[in-house]
Amino acid sequence: MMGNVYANRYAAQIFAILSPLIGELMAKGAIRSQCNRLGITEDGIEKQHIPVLAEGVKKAMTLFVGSEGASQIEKRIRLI
Amino acid sequence: MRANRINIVWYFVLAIVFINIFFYVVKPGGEMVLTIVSDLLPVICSLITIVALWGTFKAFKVHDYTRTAWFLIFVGMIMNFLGESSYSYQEIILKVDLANIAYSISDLFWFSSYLFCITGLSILIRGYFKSDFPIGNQLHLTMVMLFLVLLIAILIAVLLQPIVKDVETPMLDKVVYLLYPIFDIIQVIIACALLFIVRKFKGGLVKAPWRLIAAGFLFMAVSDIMFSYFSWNDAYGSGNFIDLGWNAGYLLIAMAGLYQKNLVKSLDGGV
Repeated sequence: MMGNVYANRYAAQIFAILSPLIGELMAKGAIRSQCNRLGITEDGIEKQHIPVLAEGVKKAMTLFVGSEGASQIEKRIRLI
Repeated sequence: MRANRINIVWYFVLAIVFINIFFYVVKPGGEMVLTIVSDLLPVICSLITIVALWGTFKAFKVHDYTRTAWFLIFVGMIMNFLGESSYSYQEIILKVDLANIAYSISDLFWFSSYLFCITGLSILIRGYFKSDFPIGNQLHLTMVMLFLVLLIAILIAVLLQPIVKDVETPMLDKVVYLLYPIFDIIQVIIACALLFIVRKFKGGLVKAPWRLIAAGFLFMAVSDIMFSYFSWNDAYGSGNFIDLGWNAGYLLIAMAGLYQKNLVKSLDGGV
């Protein structure tokens, strides 16, 4: 187990939501690519970034779990 | 479906494979029984796949490209079932010697199946490249591409060229003989792409359905390619071990459907 790999609490919680579904490696990759889209680093995630990050994760996760499942993941991230 | 229930389904799948091997090795009842078993097992296995994939399709409640992809694979499996059933009917009931016929109604179903399945799988792969998930190591991707190019070159030399060069076979028969390996090569490429993608999801729940569906289509494509080679060289007969690849392929795709359904349902509970 890699465990918690982020100092940033938002990144750590998104990681905790995503890693059981897509594995730790891809969870890190997904967070990084969503942050890149926002022009921030994983350590720079703040509360105001969460809705956009959640939307981006939803879009990506639709492929694996469908729109409804992805919406549930989005909701979990928005509740952080 | 809980983990212990999935395990029970796995035992059931293994039992079917063992029954398959038993009949091919021991041949109880002789060639007649072997022909019936080797004709009926793919019908049973494809039917199991249809039932499993219907459950998967229903689990996706919102219509989106993922649901469309799984639906197309489901329709592809219905076509496979119709192909297997019509083949069995012709061979067992009508006593048609299908080994000496270039094509029958079954081929029409199987060709349609390729179109549905390849389209469905392509939607999944396209979805991956459009999602923001990382593509991965460029060196590994290049190595996989080189391996596939080499594989295609070998298959063209071994399978396609002898068919194209043959002057005795009528044109329509040639087209039928050529289409199978061409579709199979496409299927192998897609299955390898899925396996390439899925290897990065280590420890994630999404890995199982994608790995199983890729393995299922790979098994079927490899069996098809071997069938094309052996049947072109008049070395294929009912009860051949190649059939095991088709049956295992169907069952792996069915398991992929069950895992996918479980995954979708596991998120149903909400936040």
